[in-house]
Amino acid sequence: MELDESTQRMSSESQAGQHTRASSDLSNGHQRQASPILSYLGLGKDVLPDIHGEALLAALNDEQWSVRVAAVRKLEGLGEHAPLEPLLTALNDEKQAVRAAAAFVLGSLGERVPIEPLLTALHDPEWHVRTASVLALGKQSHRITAEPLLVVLSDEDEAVRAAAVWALGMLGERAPIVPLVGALSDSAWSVREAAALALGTLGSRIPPEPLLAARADEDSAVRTAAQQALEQTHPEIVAPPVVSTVATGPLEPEWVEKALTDLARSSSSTLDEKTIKPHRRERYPVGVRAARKRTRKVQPVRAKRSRLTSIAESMLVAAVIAGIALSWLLLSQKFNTTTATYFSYHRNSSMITQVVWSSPQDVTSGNAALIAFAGADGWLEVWNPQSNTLAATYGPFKQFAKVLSMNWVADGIRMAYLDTDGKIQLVQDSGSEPFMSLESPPGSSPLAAWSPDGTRIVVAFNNGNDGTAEVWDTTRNRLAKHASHMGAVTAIAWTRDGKTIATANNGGPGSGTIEEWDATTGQSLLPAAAGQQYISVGFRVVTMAWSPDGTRLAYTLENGDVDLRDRGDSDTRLNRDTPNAHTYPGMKAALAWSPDGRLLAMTMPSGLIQVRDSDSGNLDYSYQGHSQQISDLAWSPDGKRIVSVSIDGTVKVWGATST
Amino acid sequence: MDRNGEDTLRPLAANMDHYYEQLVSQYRQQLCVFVSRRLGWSGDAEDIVQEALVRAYMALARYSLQQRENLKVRGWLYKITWNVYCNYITRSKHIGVVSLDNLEEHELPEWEDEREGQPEMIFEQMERRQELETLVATLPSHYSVVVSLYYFEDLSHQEIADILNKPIGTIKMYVHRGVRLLRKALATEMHEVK
Repeated sequence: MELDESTQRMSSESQAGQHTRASSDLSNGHQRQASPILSYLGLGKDVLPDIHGEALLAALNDEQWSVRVAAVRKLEGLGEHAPLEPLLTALNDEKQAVRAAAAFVLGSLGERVPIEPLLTALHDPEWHVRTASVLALGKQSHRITAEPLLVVLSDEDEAVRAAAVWALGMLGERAPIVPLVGALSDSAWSVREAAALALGTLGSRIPPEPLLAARADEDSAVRTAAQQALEQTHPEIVAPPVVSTVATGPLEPEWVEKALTDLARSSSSTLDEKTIKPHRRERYPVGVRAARKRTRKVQPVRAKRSRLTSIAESMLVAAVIAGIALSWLLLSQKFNTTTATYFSYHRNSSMITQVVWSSPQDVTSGNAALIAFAGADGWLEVWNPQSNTLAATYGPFKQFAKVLSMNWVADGIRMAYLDTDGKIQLVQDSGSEPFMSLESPPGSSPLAAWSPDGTRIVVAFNNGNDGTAEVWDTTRNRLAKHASHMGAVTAIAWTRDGKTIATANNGGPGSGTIEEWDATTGQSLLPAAAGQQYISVGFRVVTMAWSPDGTRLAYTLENGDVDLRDRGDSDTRLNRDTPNAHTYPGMKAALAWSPDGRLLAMTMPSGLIQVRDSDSGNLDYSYQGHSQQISDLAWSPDGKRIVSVSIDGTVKVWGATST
Repeated sequence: MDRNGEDTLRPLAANMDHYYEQLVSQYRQQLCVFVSRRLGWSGDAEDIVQEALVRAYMALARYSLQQRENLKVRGWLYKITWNVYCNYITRSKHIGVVSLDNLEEHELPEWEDEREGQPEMIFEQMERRQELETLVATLPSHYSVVVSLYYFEDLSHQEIADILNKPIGTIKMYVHRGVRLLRKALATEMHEVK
């Protein structure tokens, strides 16, 4: 059997610590811990004797990791006198137990602790270290923004996500509510529970509906947390929780019959009343109930209430909920934020990464504007967002792994996808078989982008820190090749006329660059006289988009900045509210220009989408319809709607203007 | 001694590390036994339980004092351990269930609390507990885990329902049917011995 690498490392560290400790204990008199888990966490009976000062500092450098862990935990007891430098060094220890202990302790040492190392530790390969770092940041919540925590909300490990939810709750008034509400739908019960608990600390500004829904969660801990949260946030509308029908299973005729027979014959129930009573009312139909021999007092049936009283209570609850919703709406309008959505779609457990609108030619022909997207299951779906009807489905496509690029041209939808063998397959919506395949070097993590007219595709292959982009037509002719000057390719963008391609490259931390080159020849288009082969932008570029007239390039950086650069190389920042230079490697982002080039839509890690004037940078308005990071955006051909997709499989179509 | 150990833990809730040390002391071994029974061997059980306990520690770190005081620790620990175990199984290629092809389910004329009836006596009388555990492990997985939790881990129906996110009625049914399958298997075994 195979354990995941993290668990194996955790175990091997713990067991190795046990085995080597035997010899070390004899040599330096350290006491032995009985439990490997306590040893791993630096707890339990003192591994270290009562040492201080130089001896304690020496223990931080002991050859045994278990001694180092214990020494780190011992520093916690020094409080404001704990030396920071050894702890910061321990944050980079080779052993995950030491790193996690260091992060844990740093969180409790107050404002003198620098935040940057903890933010860096969010990228540790071990879930335990990442969780400890998130918890530490949560304890320093008054010194951080929500952004790094929002990125961590997408972590693969549920413990990290749960800690991120808790830490977001610690932001208090600054806590973003929508992502926390979104966490109530997480696949892990621990995250959902943490979300309910966090929402419960945020007061009456929390809308009650999500918590009311969470009271019907399949998990008992989540239900309890939701009830507790409602009692904290909306005690005036809290009613006794309804025993969830979701939590109960289907009635089993055999079981019911046997149980009835048993109860009819027995003189006293052998069943625990506490365990059976809450479910009894849901399990027995009224007619059957009369046949049971009641051997113990049952809970009285709730007395019937007058119809008027029920109506009055319902109206009161509705009025309270409407009042909360109205306040929410007014607040949204105050900040020019809308959640008005014209079309909404959600596919559970299926990441949708790209979406396209039907071609402008199709729309001008009188056909309704349609949207197309593909999920992780390999099916391509086409929807009419105006009528909320499914127009067509295509697929499943053979050995589908993930979408690389989509385009809707006059001939239909073209899609490039990576198959499970690592090949790039090009398909047309009407065909079940790929019309062209491209080999991709093993481990190259290719990127691709169709030309605006769909007749060519640029594919970028990355071999470590080397990137190469190739332009192919749809008859297997390679038209051009461009080798990156500075590292792996991270983003691609065509100009609308199909003549210029921009590729972003990443040569290492702080070495993000952009190259502009001719799509026909592969040659650089940057000023040759200046000897310039690339433009340095500092951070890794996450996504790029040319303006419709091809004169400006907008790009989102890994630190959250969105920059806009003219072809004349001037630098205009539209959005820069990140207070520090920290990056978010897991960040997803999207950019989309309005068809007339006047507005630029951009995304935030929280799922917020901003629409800004591309000349002034002024915020036109915001859309908050997603609770997870946005993976793609597209403006409708008529410029009136925007479609957005988020990593949780949600697709939304909303108005593109503030009016 | 209290069944769940929660009365012992509650006074320690104000000091998370002491609380956790006591928790490990009380439950680590039974969790290891539980997992090793599910696996059929103890090789990876320690690793699974260690990861579960680390996750428990990180969760406790974000719980308030009130939440720690009100925590139903045993069921909570089993739930975390069960999740880690399930993730492990998902990654594993080994399938530890062998269906009992020759067994059929019959309806009982009576339904009784199994723990006080014949199976309990059989368990007490069986000298070869290990063989019985092996037999339980060969039941269909949904019966096996419930029977194991109920009889070997001494968890209540409600605790098992919370761990497995199933209705309590389903748990009782699984205990009932699982024991019936065991009776059949034992009867077959005894017949073969003769």
